[in-house]
Amino acid sequence: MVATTRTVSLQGAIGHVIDVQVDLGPGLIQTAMVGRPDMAINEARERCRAAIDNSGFHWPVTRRTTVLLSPADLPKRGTHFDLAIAVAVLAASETRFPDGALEGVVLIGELSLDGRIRCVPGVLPMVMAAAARGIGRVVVPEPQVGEAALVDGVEVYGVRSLRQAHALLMGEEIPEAPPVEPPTGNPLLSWRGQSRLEEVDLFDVLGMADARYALEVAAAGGHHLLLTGPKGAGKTTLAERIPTILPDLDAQESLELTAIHSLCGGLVPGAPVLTRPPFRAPHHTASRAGILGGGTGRVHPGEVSRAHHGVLFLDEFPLLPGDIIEALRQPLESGEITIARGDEDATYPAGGMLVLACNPCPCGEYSPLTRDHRCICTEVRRREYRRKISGPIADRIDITRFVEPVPAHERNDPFGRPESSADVLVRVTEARCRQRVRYADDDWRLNAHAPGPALRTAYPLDADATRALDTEVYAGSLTRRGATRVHRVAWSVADLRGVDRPGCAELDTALRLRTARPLDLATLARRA
Amino acid sequence: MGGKDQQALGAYGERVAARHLVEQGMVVLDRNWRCPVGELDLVLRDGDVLVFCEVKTRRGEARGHPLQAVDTIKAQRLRRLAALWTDEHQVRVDHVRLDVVGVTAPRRGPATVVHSRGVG
Repeated sequence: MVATTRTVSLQGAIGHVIDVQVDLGPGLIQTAMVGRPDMAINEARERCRAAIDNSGFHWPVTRRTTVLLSPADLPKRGTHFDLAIAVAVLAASETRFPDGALEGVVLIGELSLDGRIRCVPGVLPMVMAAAARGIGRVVVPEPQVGEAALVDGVEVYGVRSLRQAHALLMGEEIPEAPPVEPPTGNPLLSWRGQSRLEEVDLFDVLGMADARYALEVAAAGGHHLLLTGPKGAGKTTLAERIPTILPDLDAQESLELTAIHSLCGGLVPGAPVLTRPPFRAPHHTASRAGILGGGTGRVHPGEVSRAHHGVLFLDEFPLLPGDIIEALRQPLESGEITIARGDEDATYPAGGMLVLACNPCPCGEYSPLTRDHRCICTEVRRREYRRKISGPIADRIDITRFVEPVPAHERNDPFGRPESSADVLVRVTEARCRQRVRYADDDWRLNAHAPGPALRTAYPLDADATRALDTEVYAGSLTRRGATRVHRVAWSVADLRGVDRPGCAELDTALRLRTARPLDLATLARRA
Repeated sequence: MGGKDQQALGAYGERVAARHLVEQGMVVLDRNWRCPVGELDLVLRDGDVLVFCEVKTRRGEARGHPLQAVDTIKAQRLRRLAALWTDEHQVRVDHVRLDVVGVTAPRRGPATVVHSRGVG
């Protein structure tokens, strides 16, 4: 007697619907698990046996049990196979499920020995994969119903125990069961980190008109940003405030981001949807796997993916190991990162803004604009340090800014009332709307993601500006890629100003933003 | 339960198992064949298949079903015993099978027999 149930196996963020087949036959009394299971799935036979026996059912003790996870060549990981395996065993042995009860159902959940169901990471991407394959019904651990219900076109059933799942599939009345513990979040970190970041506002930042404008352009077009400046000048203060001037995520974006965080197991059951752009600030001692993704066993998404549609802030980035900085080049260009392993590849989205901050020199006192700095670094060390900042990564940064300590007269200016984040957010949202309308027929949404050829043919600068940009390339002060990036920033400047096509003025601002020259104060005044 | 009881239970189980198998149309060739490696409970012929059978008898299922008592190591020993038996009796057959019969014999009521074909 063969019985088949379905569940989803995840490979990175990509899910594959797999069949769990159970055959009971003659032979040595044992349970064989085939179809490339990992350690956790191999242990499922112990969990399922105990769960079945302790739920008032009977594990088939007089026959050889063979469990196949098919397609058998796909490596499988995780503990969420338990429910599908247990139900298939019941269907093969003692339970006559109604005809079609197991058709078109995906079962997700880990079993504990007493037959209760535990939460598992990655429910959202699993349900998305099931829906894409035309599966109409999913059974998930009860606390994760909200997460699964984000996917359109799927009926979601939450269960607390194997008995409840059994009754559900039999079409019987659902028996009582104690509630399932929600997956553990990370209250220690979210306690300070998140609540503190909710309170920050650009209103707190005095002066720094130049850097504020750079932030606004970066937010409008989704551009990568490099902030340099002496210690204490306010680089981190500025970077932390970027999410406050980013609009809420739309449905598709929030689904993508929530799917990544579902894989990390960090969703709060009550409010599973992430609608705000994330701000991730890993420390410079973070590991390669932590930032880019990887780890032993399952390939976990890294910080670069958790910052999808938001901000990845790397403070003191020259202190990061050089190979991590180099490895960031690929996701910066393509908006996704592929972690290749011998037996499996995992691809995660990585379409956030990269914000880098660094001191201008190792001691942090050097200032290129004012000459009265107190830097004690030798020129050799300074050059060594600058070499890490520049190079291939710098060519992929759209906007570079020096953040200078605010002079006293600006700090105490009684007339200069700083704008709040809400004011800036209005302009950023407007600029993003213009982009959305312009790129309605394309498959990107932000200037920063527009491919170079499309920009040159379909969305060029005006004639004078195009000539001016070409001159810069011929003169050797910009690479071709650099020119494309300036082109994108020029569009963002134009979107903020409400100009229909970027001209020489916008190009000039974009060039200044890229090459870290101070902005013309007149251009700043014009936008008001 | 003493050793004697256990032996008696084993012998009873083997009788029950043999009767069950004969009812299935098998022919008993040998019983309780001993050698230094161990003992074969039953040797039978099922059509043109030579069957070596291990019988496990238990009072109840408190310590699991009798069939569960036969693990990979015991199945391997059964295979070795089968080789020794065919060697000694100079038997040449094309098909050999290893079976296990589990007998549950409660103190009251009839014994139940479960026959598992083709072990190991």
